[in-house]
Amino acid sequence: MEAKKVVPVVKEEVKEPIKEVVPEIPELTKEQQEVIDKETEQAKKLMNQDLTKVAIENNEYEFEVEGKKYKVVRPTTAQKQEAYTKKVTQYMKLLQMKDDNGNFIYYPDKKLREIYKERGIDVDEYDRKIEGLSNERNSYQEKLGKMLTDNPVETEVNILKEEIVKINDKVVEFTVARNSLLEYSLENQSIGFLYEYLTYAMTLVQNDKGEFVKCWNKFEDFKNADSLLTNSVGVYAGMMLGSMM
Amino acid sequence: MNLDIYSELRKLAKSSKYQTIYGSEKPLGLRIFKNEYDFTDIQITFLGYLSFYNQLNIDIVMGDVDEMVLKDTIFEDSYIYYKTRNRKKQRKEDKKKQEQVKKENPKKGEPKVDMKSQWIFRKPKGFSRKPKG
Repeated sequence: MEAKKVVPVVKEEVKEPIKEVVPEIPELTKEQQEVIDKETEQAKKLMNQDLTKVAIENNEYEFEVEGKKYKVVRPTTAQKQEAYTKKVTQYMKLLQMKDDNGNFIYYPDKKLREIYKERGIDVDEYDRKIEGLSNERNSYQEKLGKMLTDNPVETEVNILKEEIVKINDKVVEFTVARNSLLEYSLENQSIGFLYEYLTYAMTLVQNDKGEFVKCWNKFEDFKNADSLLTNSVGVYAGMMLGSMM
Repeated sequence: MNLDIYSELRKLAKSSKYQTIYGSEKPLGLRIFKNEYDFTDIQITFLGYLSFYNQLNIDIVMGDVDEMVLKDTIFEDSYIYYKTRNRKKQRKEDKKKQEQVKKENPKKGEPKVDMKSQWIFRKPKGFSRKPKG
C-alpha cells in the first residue's frame, strides 16, 4: 500500500486591506459656508486695520459691521461689580447642575484633577513640568544676559537662544495640554462667563439720532446675536480686559 | 490677548516713533494715548514695553550691554532678566553690609535726624490771641 503523503494544508493568510479611518465631515450648507467666509473676511479686515495700533490709541474702539457703527468701551466700576455678581450666580448654578442620571456636570479644578488622576492623567505633573522648564529657562536667560554685556560672540549667544526657544515650545505645549484638560472646570467656566457678560455690557450701537446706546437689552439677546458681530466685539473686549480678575 | 498681539505691541513700543513720544511725554507734554486715565489692559501692557525698551536703549548708550541685544526678543528678555537678578543680588549684599555696620558700630548705623527739615510751631514770647484792650 502506498503511504499517503500527508501534506499539511497551509492556510493562506488573507490580508485584508487596511481601512483608512477618515472622519466623516458633514458637508457644509451654502448658508454655513457663507457665514464662515464672511467671518474669515471680517477677521482679515480687522487684522488689516492694524488692530494693535487702533487698540492702544484709546480706551474705546469704534468699528462698523454691515453698515452699522458699534463702540466697545471700557467697563465702569459698576458694570464690573454687576458682572462679578453674575459670575458668582453662574458659578453656584453650575456647581449644582446635574445631568439626567443625577450626576454633577461641572467640578471644581481640584476635584477635576483628582478624577483625571483616577483615569491615569496627572494634571499636576504638567504644572511641575512647566515650573521646572521655567526655572531652566531662567538659568539660560541669566547666562545669555550676562554674555550680552561683555563682547558677545554671535555663535555662542545663538546656542543659548536655541535652548530657550526649545524650552518655550515645550512650555507652550504643556500649557495648552493642561488648559484643555481643565477647560470644563467650574473656575474656567465661570471666568468664561464673566468675559462674555462684560463683552455684552461694554458694547454700544449707534442709533438713528447718532447716539451710542446699549447694544443689547438683555444678556440673552447677546447670546443669540449674529456671531459675526459678537466675534468682532469679543476681539476688542479681550484686548481691553486682558487677563483681568 | 494672543501671542501675535504681544509681539506686535513690542514692535510698536520698540519703534523710534513711540520711543520719542515716550521720552518727550514729560518734558514736552506729548501724549501717547487719547485718554488720560482709565487705561485698558493693552495700554498698560504697552506702557510696560515702552519703559522696557527705554531702559534697554539707555543701557546700550551707557555701554552696559551690546547693541546685538536688539536683534532678538529672547536677547532682550534675557538681558533685562539678568539685570533685574543682578540688582536684587546687589541690594541683598548692600543690606547685609549695612546690618554688619550696625552690629559693629550701633551709633553709626542709626539714621540721622535732619533738624533743618522739621517745622517747629512755637508761640513767640509775649504773643497772645486775646485782643488788646
